[in-house]
Amino acid sequence: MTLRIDVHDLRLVYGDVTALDGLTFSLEPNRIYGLLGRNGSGKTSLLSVLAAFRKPTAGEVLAGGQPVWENPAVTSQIAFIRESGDTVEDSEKPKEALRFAEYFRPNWDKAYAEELIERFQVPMDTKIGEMSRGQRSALGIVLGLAARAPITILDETYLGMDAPSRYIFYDEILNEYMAHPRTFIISTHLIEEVSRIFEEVLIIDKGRLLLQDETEALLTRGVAITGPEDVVERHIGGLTVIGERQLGRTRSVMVYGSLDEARARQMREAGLDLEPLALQDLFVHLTAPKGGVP
Amino acid sequence: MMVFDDRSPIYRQIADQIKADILSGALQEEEQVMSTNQYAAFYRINPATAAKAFQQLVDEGVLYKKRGIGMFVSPGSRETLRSQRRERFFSEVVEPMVAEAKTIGIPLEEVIRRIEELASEGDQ
Amino acid sequence: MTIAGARQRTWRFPRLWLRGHILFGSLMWAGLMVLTLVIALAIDRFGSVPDSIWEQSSQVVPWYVGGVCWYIAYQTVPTTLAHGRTRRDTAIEVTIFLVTFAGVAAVLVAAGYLIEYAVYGLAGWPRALSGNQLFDSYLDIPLILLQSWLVAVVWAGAGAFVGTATYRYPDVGWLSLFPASVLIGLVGTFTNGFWGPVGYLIDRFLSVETPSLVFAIPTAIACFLISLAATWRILRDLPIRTR
Repeated sequence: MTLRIDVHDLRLVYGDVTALDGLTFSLEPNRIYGLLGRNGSGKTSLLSVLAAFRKPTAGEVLAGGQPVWENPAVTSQIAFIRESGDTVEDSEKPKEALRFAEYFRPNWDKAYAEELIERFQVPMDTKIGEMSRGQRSALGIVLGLAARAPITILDETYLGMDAPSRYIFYDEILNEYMAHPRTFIISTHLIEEVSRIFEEVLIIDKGRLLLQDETEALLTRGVAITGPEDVVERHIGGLTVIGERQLGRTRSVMVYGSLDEARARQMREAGLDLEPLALQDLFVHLTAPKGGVP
Repeated sequence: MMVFDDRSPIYRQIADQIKADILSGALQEEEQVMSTNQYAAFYRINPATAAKAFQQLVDEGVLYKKRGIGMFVSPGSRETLRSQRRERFFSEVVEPMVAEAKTIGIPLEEVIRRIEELASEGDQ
Repeated sequence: MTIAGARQRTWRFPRLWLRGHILFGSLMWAGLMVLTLVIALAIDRFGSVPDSIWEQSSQVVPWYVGGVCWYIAYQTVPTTLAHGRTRRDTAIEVTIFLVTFAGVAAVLVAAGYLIEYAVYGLAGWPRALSGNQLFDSYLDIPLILLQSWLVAVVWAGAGAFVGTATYRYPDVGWLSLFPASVLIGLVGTFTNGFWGPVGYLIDRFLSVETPSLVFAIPTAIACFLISLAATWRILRDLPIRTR
């Protein structure tokens, strides 16, 4: 089942806080998307609304051309995991949580769930309320992946997990994606670690969508130009500056947008040092307090 | 195992790596290359990224696709790559070397002498 | 691919919830039954003749039903929604649960009376009911079932209402206890002359002979429906919050 996601002019307002301020975008089915945003940027609000956990104040969210809100044909195909908190009860043990999931998820794969429990070493005999954060996260991931939902949304589900467990997690997402293609939306703060499994990245800031682009393309869109400040000044006319740093007389300017070959060569010949910006740096600069995509 | 540098598109790095492997002989002509899924799983990257790299190499004629089986190194690709590298050798290697020597103040005669030394060592 | 297709039934009979709670509830009931008989025995040992103890101890059952239904609304419903179910389907399933669970509770209460009847008969104790119920005989099973169910179903609805309210409004949700008590008070008054503020008001302004079957049935049903409507009001756009 392939479900394309379309969001039009989405707004979410709580009291006097505007969590989502008019987002419009589309997600083609069966891709792995990364959702990046600072704390309070509206990331979780966006994901909640996508999964019909919350009703938007205005705008529409469609999956497969149909509204998601209160639409059983659609919501049964969406798995939204935030750590594991929502889909389990603290007084239960993992066994009950798995049974519950099996009852509700139309595409549940029991054997795969058991295999994942093993791989992540989730303790089956401990009450969920007594588990460590990492173990809870692992359980959440099991519930999310074994559900085999055509739209699987994982909201920072790696919290508290150590690096080896996180890498098992990334491997599982890729394996699952290749074996049973589906739309994955993964929100994360660990940009450098995960970004290479994303096909597209969305950056949200202050309730607005800053950009949506292929990860590979984004890696060509940021450049750091470093050199003596006067030389730098001379060469950045017309470019979109998203950040700058200064050390003595050396200035480093971060620029957004691709540079054509000729211009780049010109800069290098003038003695400037050009370096592509890593995704994390791009993110930091675009979401800085006075940042934004111009 | 290749470590990816996060500062340039990964598909380009993959494509370059495969070309390097072909040049060095690590990948023989008509040999099958790992599938995009295998690549993705092994390097922990999105399969679309691997596919993009492969597509670029197919477009350049370095790889070709056998329907239903996989990707293979094109016959003659080693020579093609070699001649491409040969073309770029002077602009990408020699000229920057000369410029660098100038910047740091090494007289070109010293450079030439050293090259001749290496050439005669190589003969032995 | 779009989602087309006929409108099929997407809600299901809540067998998972019912199985768990009926099992556990039955164990609780069994314990209560044993306790009741032990008390009767103790009274007998101390020289008196016991009246119906079950009539008193079975008063606990509506509280238990209310508690379970609170839990279903407060804990189980959000978990269900998080697994991709809709609020509408969940509401239907919860309603089925409330009615069925109350029914099972009624059956267990009636069974309790029968067991007490049998045991008292064997022990030679009189089988005396207080006369304050809708039914006046141990063997009037239909009426016992009806009264127990009417009471239990309103407690169930009230519990679900309070559960949903306290989930959605953690700060002020407890205020729902007030309207909930009114509903419970109404059905209580008409089924066994339960005296609370509601009973007092009814006596004052309606001068109806309580208990009264004629009033009990419509009142109970109305109270149940009101609790359902109030619960749905809160549930229909319930946001699932992070726990």
